[in-house]
Amino acid sequence: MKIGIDFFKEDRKKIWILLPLLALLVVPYIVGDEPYLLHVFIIVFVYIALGQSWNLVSGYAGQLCFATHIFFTYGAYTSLMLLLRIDLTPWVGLFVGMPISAGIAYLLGSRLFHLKGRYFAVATIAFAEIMRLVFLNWRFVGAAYGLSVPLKGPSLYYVIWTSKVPYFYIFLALAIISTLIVYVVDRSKAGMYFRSIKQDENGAQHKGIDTSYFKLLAFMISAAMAAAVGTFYAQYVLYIDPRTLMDLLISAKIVMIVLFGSIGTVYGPVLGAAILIPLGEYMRIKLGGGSQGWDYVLYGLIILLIVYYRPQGVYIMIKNQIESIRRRTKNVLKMSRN
Amino acid sequence: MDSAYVLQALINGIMIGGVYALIAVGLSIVWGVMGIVNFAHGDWLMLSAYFSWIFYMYAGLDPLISLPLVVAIFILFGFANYKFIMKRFIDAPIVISIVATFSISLIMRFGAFIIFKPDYRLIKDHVLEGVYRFGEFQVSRAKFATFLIMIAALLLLFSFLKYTKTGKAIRATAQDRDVAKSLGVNVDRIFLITWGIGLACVAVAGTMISTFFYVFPMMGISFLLLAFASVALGGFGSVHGAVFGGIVIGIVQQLGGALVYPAFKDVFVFVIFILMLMFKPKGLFGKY
Repeated sequence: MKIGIDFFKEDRKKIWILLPLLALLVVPYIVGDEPYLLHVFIIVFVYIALGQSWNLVSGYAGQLCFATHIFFTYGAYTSLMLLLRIDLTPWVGLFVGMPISAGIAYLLGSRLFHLKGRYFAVATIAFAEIMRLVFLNWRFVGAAYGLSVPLKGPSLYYVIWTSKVPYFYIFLALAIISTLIVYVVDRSKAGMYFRSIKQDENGAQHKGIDTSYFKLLAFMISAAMAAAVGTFYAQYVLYIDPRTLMDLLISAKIVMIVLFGSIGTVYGPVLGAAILIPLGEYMRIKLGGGSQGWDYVLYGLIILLIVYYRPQGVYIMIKNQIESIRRRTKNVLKMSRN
Repeated sequence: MDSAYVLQALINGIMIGGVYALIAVGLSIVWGVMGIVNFAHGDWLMLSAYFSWIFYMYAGLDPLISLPLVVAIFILFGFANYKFIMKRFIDAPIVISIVATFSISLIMRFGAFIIFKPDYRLIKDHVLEGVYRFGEFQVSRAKFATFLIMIAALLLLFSFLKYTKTGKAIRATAQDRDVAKSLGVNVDRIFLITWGIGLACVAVAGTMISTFFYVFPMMGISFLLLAFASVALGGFGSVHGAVFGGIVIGIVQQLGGALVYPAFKDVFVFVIFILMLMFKPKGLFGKY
């Protein structure tokens, strides 16, 4: 399979996308010592990366998965267990967690990918619930008590720092890498196959596409991506437990973020996370104090309005708008020339 | 382990299974007729339980008396839910309709969280307080009454689906929407009625649950997942399959909890759920 090397050529015009990235690089210097703001940025990056992971399997390959948070948890637990038991650095644990997660995605996918749309969706929910209950009762991984990161360091080896700035760059890198993966897939032949599976699975099969192979591929890449985020997330929050990490609401939030941004596009999850997460955090501060449900109510309302009026999402909406303006100005220019 | 213990668990399972069956029927009929997975189903259940609690707290009505009231309100809710929201998502891609119902679920769940606070509410001193004793077995009166009301509600629903014209039209629409339309069935009206039926089922279940279970904002999700399991077992879209599935799920849950390991009682349920999907996705009575 040829991964489009010439994608830089066709996107040279889109070089402006690098500008916000450069701006992000200096954010810690501008924000300085404002841990909460950095935290919001970090959560945005986490959800961008998780959103891209989900986007790959559900947005591109069209297999509606509600178990992204489980793969995320696998990554977190694997690297942290290795760190606790054999003092292995999370940088290596990362590359243990990703194959484990991808392997379980393979096992799950190979058993479940014969299911159509909503059947697959509810099957992943059943899987997620089983995993949550197992982790809640599994003594070896701390059961309901969860696991705490040993406070050694601060050092690169243990991925522990007292400041949030290094985490900021790590999660920024994760968000960029996952977006790049989706970007490359989007322009590769595999991406085309994914989309054809999403549109018409039988048709794709008749055209000679190995649909089960490509569905599994998307699922495994997606699971590995989520696991990578999980590894660093554990190091960042210093404490993980099944109740908070394996909550179905996390997957729901991912789904809503991607859908808000535009499902099946490269920049949709970025846009969705960048808008929705700060909005939710803002609501929490403004209406905080006991009533911590406001951010979810707001999410629910926004997403309901989006799927009701603009189910294609904000990114495509903006893109269409810009295109129509461009077309109009072009016409005006042509007319004035005549 | 004596047989009485096992039998008691079995009785508990059948009793609680009746509740799951009723919830699952509402879920299954909406799935079967419209192809919509209603993720807000559990939260409608929560809301109906809160209605029963409100009637009890502020009007002094016993859940048994407020039951028809709550059901009537929920039929209207079902109509409104279809008319103003879900109508738009009938032919939408699955991801869109799932996310739509999920956002309704979030609004209801966390709305209840804000309005009613996360406290666990309990209806005390209602008519059904206490237990029935049969020899060495005992059944809570509330659960027993729930079971009887469940049977009555299901008989009503089955005869409605079987003998009335509207019921036949609903079944026809579930079988093949386009053919039903071509035969002069007003599909839009059928969808409206189906949502009414779906929420009426859940209202009966929710009101009855409030007589023996805590009412709290997050109660929906666990019942929703059990209802999913029941529907997967009985067959997606099949009404009598959902009833059978619900009771089996109740028995599996209670027996598994009593005999193997209490904390794992739901694991058995979800394992059945996922195995069913793996090997027999249409369930025992459903169509795929």
